[in-house]
Amino acid sequence: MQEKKIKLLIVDDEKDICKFEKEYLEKHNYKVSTAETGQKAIAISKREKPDIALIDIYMSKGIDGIEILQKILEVNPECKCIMSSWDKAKAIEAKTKGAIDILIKPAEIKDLEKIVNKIAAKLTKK
Amino acid sequence: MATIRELFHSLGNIHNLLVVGAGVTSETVEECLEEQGLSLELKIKLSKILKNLNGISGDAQEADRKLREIHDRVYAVIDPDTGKPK
Repeated sequence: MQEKKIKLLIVDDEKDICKFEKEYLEKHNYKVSTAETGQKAIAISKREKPDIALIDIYMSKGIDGIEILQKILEVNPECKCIMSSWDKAKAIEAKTKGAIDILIKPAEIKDLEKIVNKIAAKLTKK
Repeated sequence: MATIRELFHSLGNIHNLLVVGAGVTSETVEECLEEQGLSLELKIKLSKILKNLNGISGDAQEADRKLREIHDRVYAVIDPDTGKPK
């Protein structure tokens, strides 16, 4: 029986970051969607119910990452959200809004993988 | 014209791209190194690429530490959205 893959949503306005992170995490057996805007992120969350979301706090267009986090949790309360930011204070603030972990940029891809794997391990234990 | 906040964000993004890109590319190179039947010459070249990628990642992280120092000094005296002195 094929094990169900953990679904991951990457929300970042930088498309090359989305591309790199998707490429890497898919190789490591995750099913990955990407969104460069908050609107797209919320639409994907409603439709696909990702297990984990990695959300960039500073989005150059539209709503910011904190608002995206709150809206994702409204439509998909089970989603485990990781906030990524260059601004550590903002990232920590996001934990009070429902994020379960933070990633400070620039972040090595293996550090992202560690955080995602830790969350995924807890999800698969359920 | 971009605001100071936007410029710092943009530069921070470039550093992040370099670190992530180097990391992802390094993994691809590591996979190549695991292939059977590679010549010694090719292994040496691939190892050199890996070392260079690690160097690029490290340099980008160092550049980002400098960027943070500049950020803190600039933000202390300039409003990052208007560009005017505080």
